[in-house]
Amino acid sequence: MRKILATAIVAAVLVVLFASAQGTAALWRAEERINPGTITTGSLSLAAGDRTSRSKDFVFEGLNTLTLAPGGFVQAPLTISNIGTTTLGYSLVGAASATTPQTAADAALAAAVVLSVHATDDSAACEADVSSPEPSLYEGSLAGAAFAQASDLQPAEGELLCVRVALPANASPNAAGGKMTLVLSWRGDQL
Amino acid sequence: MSTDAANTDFDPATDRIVPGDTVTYTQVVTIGAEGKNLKGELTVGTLAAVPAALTNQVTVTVAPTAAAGVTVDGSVISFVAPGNFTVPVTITVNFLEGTTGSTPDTTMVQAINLNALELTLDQVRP
Repeated sequence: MRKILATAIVAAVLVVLFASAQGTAALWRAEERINPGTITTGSLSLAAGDRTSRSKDFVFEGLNTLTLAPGGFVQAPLTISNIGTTTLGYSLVGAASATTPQTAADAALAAAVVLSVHATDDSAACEADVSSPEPSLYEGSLAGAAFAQASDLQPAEGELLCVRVALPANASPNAAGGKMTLVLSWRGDQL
Repeated sequence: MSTDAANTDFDPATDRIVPGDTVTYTQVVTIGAEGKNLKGELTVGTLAAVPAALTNQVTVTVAPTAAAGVTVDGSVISFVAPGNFTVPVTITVNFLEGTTGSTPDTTMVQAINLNALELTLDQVRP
């Protein structure tokens, strides 16, 4: 059902025929105008960022996967923000490693890692060696990574997330020497 | 996709219309007609308010409402005797809801100018 927005305008336009005889015209005419003003459409926009910057295509330099080793993990805080004028719900719709060209080791590493995304209130809880807070919004492989409608974000609001990439101790030796460039895809839907 | 929302006042200065919204503006038009045998027609104009980016997404309609002493035929309000008549004229702006993801990004931050709606009151003779 559509949302109905109603204005309550009490001003009246008075069109008077009696007082508006015009020149020598055989029949009278009176004219008036209504000027309700201008209305503007809103916007829907989502940005990712950290403490210092945010953008629609944010380079997540805080998550350094070069130090990733079997049995270890790297993590960094990421803020998802509503930079439009409309309340939205945001979702994670995909994750991949965009290393190009992708070597066999790169592909093996991307297939072996476990991605987890947690909502948190404090970026200190997402520092290098701190266990990620629970509950997780997503935990699993890069392939198929997604979660729906994590939170409603009002305009100018943001939500702090902790993004972690872990490499299991029993990861395939084929992943040794692999590199990854994590790309997370997000979507905002009007609510 | 919009969820249901209660009717509320819309402030054009601060509020923004989004897919699924309908904004109505009602202006009371008062016709004052004095003179023996005076009959007339008030013609309500049209608005070319929708910018190209909102074509097929936003509609603007103007409709007078029948009131005591007058008859309404489309955008023409007629009276057959002198008097004072009050006729509500409603401008309705509808932003189509569409389906999830179907509304183009180009429809964002577009102005819809509702000004200069012409009202023309003509004396008529049978």
